[in-house]
Amino acid sequence: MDRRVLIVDDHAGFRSFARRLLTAEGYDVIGEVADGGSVVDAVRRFRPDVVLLDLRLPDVDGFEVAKRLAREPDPPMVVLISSRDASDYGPRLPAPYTRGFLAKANLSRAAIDLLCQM
Amino acid sequence: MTAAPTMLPRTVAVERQWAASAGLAGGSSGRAASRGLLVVASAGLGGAVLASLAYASWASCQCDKISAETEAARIVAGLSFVAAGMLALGWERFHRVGVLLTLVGCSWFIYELGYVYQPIPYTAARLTDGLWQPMLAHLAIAFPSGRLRSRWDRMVAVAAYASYALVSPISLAFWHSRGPRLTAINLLFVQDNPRFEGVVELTGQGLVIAMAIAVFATVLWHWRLASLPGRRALAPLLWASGPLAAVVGMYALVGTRYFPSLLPLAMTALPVAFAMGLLRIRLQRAGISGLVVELGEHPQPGRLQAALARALQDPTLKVAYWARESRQFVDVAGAPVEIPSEASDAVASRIERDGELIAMLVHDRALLDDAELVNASVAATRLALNNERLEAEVSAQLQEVRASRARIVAVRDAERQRLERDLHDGAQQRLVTLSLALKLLQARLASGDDRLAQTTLREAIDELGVALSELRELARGIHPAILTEAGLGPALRSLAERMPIPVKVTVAPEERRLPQQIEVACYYVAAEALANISKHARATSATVDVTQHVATLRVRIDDDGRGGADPTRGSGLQGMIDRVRALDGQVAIDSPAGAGTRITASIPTGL
Repeated sequence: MDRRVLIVDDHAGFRSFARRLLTAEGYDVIGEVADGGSVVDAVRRFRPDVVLLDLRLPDVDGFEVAKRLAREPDPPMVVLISSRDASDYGPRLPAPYTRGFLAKANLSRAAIDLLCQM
Repeated sequence: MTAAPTMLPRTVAVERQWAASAGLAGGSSGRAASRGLLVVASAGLGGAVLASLAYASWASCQCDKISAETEAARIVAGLSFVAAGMLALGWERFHRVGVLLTLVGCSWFIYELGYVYQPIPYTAARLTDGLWQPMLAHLAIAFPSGRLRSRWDRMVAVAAYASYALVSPISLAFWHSRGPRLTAINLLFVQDNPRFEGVVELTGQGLVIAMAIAVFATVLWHWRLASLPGRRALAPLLWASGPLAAVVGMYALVGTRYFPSLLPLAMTALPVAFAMGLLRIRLQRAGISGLVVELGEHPQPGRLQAALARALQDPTLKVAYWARESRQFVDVAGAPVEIPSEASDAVASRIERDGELIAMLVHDRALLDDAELVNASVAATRLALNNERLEAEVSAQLQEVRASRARIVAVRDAERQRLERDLHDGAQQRLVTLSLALKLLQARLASGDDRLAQTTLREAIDELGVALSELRELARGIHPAILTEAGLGPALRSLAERMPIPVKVTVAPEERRLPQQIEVACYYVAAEALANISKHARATSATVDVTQHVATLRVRIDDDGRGGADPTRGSGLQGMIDRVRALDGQVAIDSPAGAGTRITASIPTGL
């Protein structure tokens, strides 16, 4: 089954490569969002299975966006991503309402699948 | 020179040169003291002789005259003025008041001299027996300084004398109703004209009452404007005018036939009031001499301000010391003190020592009336003031050092945080993307799609190029390599080339190298100044000029922009100042609104 993925990241270069990589690996990337404020709307519109959510966004941070998504009926699975390492976030990870954290450099379908099966 | 906005006492409302060296030591010599004693003694003797003459004249008169009680009350009143005069004369500072008091007392006795029923003494006495009235008016208006200070004061005094000089001879010329015996010895008598006599008398009384009201109002006005000590001196006078007004009011209603001795009795309250006012001032003075005792040799910091506030009875009083190095006014703890503007109730008075500003006394405007008291207080505390100034200056320096140390740490922390963010948002982000690109490339090579692989590879190379240039820019921000490699001139020119406006750089001598920290500081002064120019100044051109003097490196940055640069706003200029000061250097910022900015930094080279 092809998972429907929404990519949330303010860095256009990253979004572009991530979309192509995940698409090549068989995911269905149904949308891209550049800021935290538009995520809820995009989720209601595209109904993704997985949201790849960057922790550092220009408006609200990823933790807050994850909390908002959890209040939605039938919420998507959320995987936090960052160009920082998980250890930079200390006790804030693992974060509630999320499936887990993935360093951007390790992004792959296999890594996402692993988190989403748990 | 400094970057802090210099608070020169330009805004000060009243600048009085209260040089602490002014002669207030009051060291009167023995000769002056004995001369003072002589004056007091002659005033007393004169008063006593006149009182005796008055009594003798009254006693010898066989005609219709005032009663014995009234005469006794009159002599007491006159002598009270003389006694108050002696008290005032005994004190150098109140000499003028003493003279006036004695003159009022002496002229008071002229009345009885009219009982000598001879033409010349009688006419002379009648002509001048009310002279004490304008003198008393003069005294009350001039109290306690003895001087008529304002134009209004002088006007009222002149009017009192003039109206008396006018009315007295005219009324004498028509003074008939007291009987033919008196007109016979009245040399100025002109004609018996009852109607005219009545008009003149009424006019005279009206003038006296008008003058009394004017004088009372003037004294009340003086009281209102006076400082607390000044008010304490004037208050008894205002109380004493109460019974006097009551007696005069009663006479106006029922005539002078009843209780004629009440007026001289009420008059006696006046010399008592004057004496009380003077004594109150004297007590205040005692408070000042107590200042020195209270402060001792090594007063605790801050005691001086409290002691001065007590002595001058102004709880708002502040001593603002001039900190020479930072060119600002500070309290004894080194915290900046604001000097009041012209519009406020407080004023600042300069305190100087050997012609040099040491402090400002910030006090209530009302204290200006009693400049002498303030002056005396300052003189008494001169040594302590200077000691506290030195202490305040050291405190101010210490505070400045602490503040700049804190700022340097804060700036360093902020710079590190910015660095981490720049790395994270810039190079790190690019490298992460690059690793994704390489993964994608791998996938495409594996699937044998060479065309897509080529595209991905090109994008990856582009991303890497951007990452590299971002890293270079970042590294230059941390430390410009060109500065170490090629020196100040090339580094500043490379800085200038990246500016959006033409910037002319001159460095003389070009090839001489200086210790690295000095070159770096100089570079950052220019970099910060140029950054400000491109951000805020709206300039069309700028110059950077570096010159080496004997033991200092001077860098000057000029632009033709809109000026108004202020180091208290934003951290850039303050950071520049701190960096230069850390090397014992100085920064001057001259940035008048609309007329460009000149920043000059001088850094000692230790060569």
